[in-house]
Amino acid sequence: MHGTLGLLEEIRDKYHPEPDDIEKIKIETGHVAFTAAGNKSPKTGREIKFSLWYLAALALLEENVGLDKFVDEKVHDPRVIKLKNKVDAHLVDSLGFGARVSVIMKNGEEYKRFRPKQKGSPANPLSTHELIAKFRNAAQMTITEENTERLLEKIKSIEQISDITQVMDLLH
Amino acid sequence: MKVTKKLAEFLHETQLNDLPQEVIEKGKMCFLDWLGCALGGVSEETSKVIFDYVKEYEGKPHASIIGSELKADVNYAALANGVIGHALDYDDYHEDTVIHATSTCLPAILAVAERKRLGGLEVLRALILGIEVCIRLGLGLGRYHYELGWHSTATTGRFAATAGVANLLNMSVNEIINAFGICGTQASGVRQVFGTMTKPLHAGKCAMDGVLSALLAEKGFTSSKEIIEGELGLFSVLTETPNEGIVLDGLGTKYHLLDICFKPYATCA
Repeated sequence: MHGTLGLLEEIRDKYHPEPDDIEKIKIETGHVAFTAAGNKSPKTGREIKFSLWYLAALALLEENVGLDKFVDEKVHDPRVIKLKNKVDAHLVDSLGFGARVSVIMKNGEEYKRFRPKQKGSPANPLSTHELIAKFRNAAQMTITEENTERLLEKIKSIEQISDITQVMDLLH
Repeated sequence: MKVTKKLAEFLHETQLNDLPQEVIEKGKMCFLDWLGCALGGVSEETSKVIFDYVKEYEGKPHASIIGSELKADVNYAALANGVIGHALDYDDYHEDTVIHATSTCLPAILAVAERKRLGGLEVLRALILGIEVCIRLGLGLGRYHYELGWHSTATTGRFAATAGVANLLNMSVNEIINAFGICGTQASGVRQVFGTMTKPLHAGKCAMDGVLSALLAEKGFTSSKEIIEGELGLFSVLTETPNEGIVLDGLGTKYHLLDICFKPYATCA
């Protein structure tokens, strides 16, 4: 799904397609997305993570597909339901985690994207900056900014830490 | 081909300075990314249930539970932190095998390291080698294993945790072989539970079983010497397309850990 979501977000940010004017969202991706994210009818917010159809709709509707989107409210959101019903997903085994997406508008316009490797893979990696930003955002959901920075420094030179409790004590 | 023994020897012999610098740096990224995922996962409903469970049955206060003042015995700490770390489904994965290796082994390694007051160097080495053994087993089980319905993270993740703790404690080759036997017979986890709290339980249970397997073997508990390649071992039972060669190919020189992916979104796959 990371391949598909990245491409749909690019289309969203560049063309700003109006959801009501979208005719169809065509997605081609590999085997794992179809089995691991193959839930067509999620019942809970948690299950959205496993639904290619809902995730694709969220990628076009929301500013980001962040942690706050996997809530029950989104399962029942009429905007999400309407758009996810426009998703036409196909399994193309050779794509692996890569994806090919196409947003087709009612007026005939079509926005296409293809990337063989998903963001976060060694061939299309998260930069160190992006990885650290991800860490900071997630860590600060539980610990202070000060401890987040201390933790970051400790892991950078983890070989120098003589007792791992120095790390564990920063985790709450 | 004595796959089980050769993996045990690799774990017993490898030191941090045997590893290429890029492997060490990637191992640190896995460490950091997992800590973030775990800290982000603390407030999930899944984690709250695990906190309640550990609080009620915690045992001796030897190891920290992430996001809490609570300490538990090493088994429960590994369980809880394993669940918390995979609660968001935001943690790293290996593309070809779809395995979330760090989530299964780091919680086990941290729990035992904290209990024994070990250092960062040992933890990092154990993490890298635990991940490596796990991915190699996943490659050996092949794609058919996952397609059949097995959750490869759960089945091979027990080996990640066992390998990590065994390396952390500098266990002997014979002890590691026994530890693999103990852990291998517990290997389970199916994809039917995806989308429920039980998917992250797989990571926690891997960590917990890894701690149990390694520590039992260290005490002299015995098991099969051929849990992977034996006639009734994992490669016979869990797949129809086993590949022993790929498990050992380039062992000690080629590191599959370099192929690990980090997630930009907290979604499955």
